[in-house]
Amino acid sequence: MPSPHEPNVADMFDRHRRRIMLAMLLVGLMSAGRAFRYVVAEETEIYLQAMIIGCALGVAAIIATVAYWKIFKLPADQRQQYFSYDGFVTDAIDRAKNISFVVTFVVVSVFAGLDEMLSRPPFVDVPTVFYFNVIAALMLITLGSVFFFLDRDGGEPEPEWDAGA
Amino acid sequence: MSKPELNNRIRVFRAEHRMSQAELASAIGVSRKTINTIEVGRFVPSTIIALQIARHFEVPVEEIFSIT
Repeated sequence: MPSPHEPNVADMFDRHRRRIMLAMLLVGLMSAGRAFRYVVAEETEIYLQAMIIGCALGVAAIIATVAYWKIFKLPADQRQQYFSYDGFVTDAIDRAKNISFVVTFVVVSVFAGLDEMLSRPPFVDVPTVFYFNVIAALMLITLGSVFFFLDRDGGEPEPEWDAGA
Repeated sequence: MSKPELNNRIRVFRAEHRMSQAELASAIGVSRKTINTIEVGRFVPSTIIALQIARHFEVPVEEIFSIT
């Protein structure tokens, strides 16, 4: 049995997966910011720009730390385990992906059904990239939000016999 | 027919072996949160995790997991 003082690699895998999901959420917020730039007043645009830059820096920091850890810190024999690791957080990501897919599919289907309305002003006044950003934002924000909802607490506290561990 | 529910006795076995969730998690190579969520019934483990837990406690898997 590994020593209780040794860090649990699976806990590190979970932490890194959570960081990647946080990066996904931030990319979703960036897409939302880019989409809203077309529909808000010019004076508000500066705040959206600041939010986009903040999110981009956050994503870059997360990706850099995760990549550094995976390339330089994770022993070669554990890299395969990282991708095949099976646990609660991996399951929560899978469930969040399923829900995100369904939500995105339903919204795109509704958009497709509203083609007549969307082909009239003011909907045709915004560029196509607005819709791409809305869809990307919806997909990634749903993915991140559902994941953090499923992962929201650590469960029940450990009972008394665990106290000394 | 109602959906079967998975029950487990991991907490009982941990108590008998005086093990924390973190110790059991390290021993079978999963995170503490995975053990915690299995114990409280929030996460249904894969067959591999269930068998690893059973092997760790040296009992058949049916002694730890059952369905109602």
